[in-house]
Amino acid sequence: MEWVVGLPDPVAVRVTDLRKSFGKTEVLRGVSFEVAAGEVFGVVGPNGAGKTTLLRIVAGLLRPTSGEVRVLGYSIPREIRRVGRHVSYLPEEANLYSRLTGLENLRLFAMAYADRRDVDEVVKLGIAIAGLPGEDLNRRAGTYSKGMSRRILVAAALMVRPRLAILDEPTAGLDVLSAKYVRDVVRRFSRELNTTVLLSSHNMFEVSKVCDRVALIHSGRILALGRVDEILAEVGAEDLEEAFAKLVSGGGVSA
Amino acid sequence: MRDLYVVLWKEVREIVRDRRTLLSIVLTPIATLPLLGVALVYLPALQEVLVAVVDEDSSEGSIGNFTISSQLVSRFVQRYLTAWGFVVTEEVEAAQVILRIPAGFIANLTSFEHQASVVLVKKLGSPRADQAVAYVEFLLNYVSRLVSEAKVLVLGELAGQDVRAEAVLNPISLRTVVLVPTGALAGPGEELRLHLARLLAVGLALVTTPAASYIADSLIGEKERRTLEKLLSTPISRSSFILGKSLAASLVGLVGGASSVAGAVFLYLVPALTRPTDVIAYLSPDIPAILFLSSYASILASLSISLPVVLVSPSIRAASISSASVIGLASVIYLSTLFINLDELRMPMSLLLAVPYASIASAVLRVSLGEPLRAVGYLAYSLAFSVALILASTRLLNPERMIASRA
Repeated sequence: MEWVVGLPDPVAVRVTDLRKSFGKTEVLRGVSFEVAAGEVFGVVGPNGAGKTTLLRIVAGLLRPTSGEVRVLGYSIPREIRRVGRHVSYLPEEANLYSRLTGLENLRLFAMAYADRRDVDEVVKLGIAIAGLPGEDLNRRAGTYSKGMSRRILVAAALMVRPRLAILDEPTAGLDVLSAKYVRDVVRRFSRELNTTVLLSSHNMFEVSKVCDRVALIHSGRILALGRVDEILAEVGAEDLEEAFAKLVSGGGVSA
Repeated sequence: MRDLYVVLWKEVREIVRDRRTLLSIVLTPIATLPLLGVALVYLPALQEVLVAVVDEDSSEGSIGNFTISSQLVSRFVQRYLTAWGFVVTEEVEAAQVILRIPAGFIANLTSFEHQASVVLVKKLGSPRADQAVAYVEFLLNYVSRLVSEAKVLVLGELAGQDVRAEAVLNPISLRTVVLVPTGALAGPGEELRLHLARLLAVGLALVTTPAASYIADSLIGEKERRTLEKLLSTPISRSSFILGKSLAASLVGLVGGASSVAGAVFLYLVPALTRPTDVIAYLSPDIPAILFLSSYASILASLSISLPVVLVSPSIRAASISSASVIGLASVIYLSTLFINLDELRMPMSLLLAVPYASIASAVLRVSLGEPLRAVGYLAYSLAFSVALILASTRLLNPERMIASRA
């Protein structure tokens, strides 16, 4: 596989004073943070906090109203084509192509990212990440449960060995076992593949299990940023839920 | 090219496995083209029209050796109308067309001083009744002609002059020669061939309908089914995304074109239902060929016209409206070819030919009129228009608009 060499910046994601408005509604109000290479970074907050908008901007799908986003050292969205092959994105409510089999869905995304000679190898890795038996992989994705679809989608996002994987609510709507599988896969393969992960969730438990550092976001603003234990100590809370509640009623904190 | 292949790879698999859409694209022309022919050619001949002939004269007269009676005229008209499929009835009230032969008709008809008259009554509402009236007029003209010839001969005898009835009644002989636009003599079935070609042009609207829906669904359906955002986030370029989908839609066009040809064969069989017709003579190889190409061009035109609308306003509602508008525009233009040759309009209406559907319809007509080069020109224009619009549309793909817009 081809890798980005000589990156101008060791920081995988650098967001500076990012603002985004849809009409008169300001969804992001001056968000700034950095994600180090190889880190699993969680953006956590309630529905409507601006998590999806933030991730879409980092993925190059939305344009910021103001502020700067740099991914692997390149300005986004202006230079998205320079890093496109090294960034994968899993949208929150993504679905598979229902008329294609699970295997074909993996092959489609492998072909979109990898050179022709590497496609089989990438698909093989995708099969390993998805952990589904062969008969399931050869069925049309339209017959899959939500958990099976999500496994394939997470596999599609990680199998291409991206330098940065952006996962928007990867476990939303999944049962306990499927959610655990996805969390384990993200944790394991991000390390094995040396992939930086930027994930969003409204599940405080999840981010504390998976992420190296988190940003608590509310109404388009980051309330707290740092390692979970640092935030808890700073706020004086037992868990992230309690910390979040305290922060919403008070000011922010940066650990 | 690699990106394009990836999109095409996906699209083709999705199309092949979408049996319902494929079936509708294949079956719509095959089922509806013959139905169109049945509706416009066969069914009118089956429509029952009641005709009554009322003889109020019941008399006989003669001019020289020529003898004629009102009963003879009445029977003559009734016999031919029956032979042509009209129903002759005694019930005058129920009749839609009434031929009334008044008292004194024969006396006036055989007179040299008076003109005989009949009354033809038609009740509004039936196109077939118009046909009955035209036939009655034709038959009465024939009778009128026979009487005129008899009168001319009598007058010639009285004048002691050798007379040829034709020279008196028709001093100018008119012979109509029908040519195709190239100047070649039109064959006996040429008008029917042209009529069928016009029906084929109308039939193109039927090919356009499922294709236009497919194109709208191909773009907006991705959003609906929540696959669009993931695909747009991949390194696949935006132009490859649009061009891949357009090429896939072209494949649908090829399928639609092939089934149109099959439907056309059935359409050409329809006239044989009403009268013995040498169908094969009208279905020369150029007709299926132009139909196939026209169907393809029509589908590509629908794609190119729908594309910018869907990309600029990518909501489900906008896609439905744009697809319905495209179908409506295509249908109106194709339907108009029943009555006019779109490429013979004067300015500014001749600008209508810039709309691809108008040039496609004109191509079908030109082939049936023996002008293949003009047809090729029209088709080439339409294809160039569509390709240019598709290429221009690739610049309109804005992920933010596609993702953030709502239904």
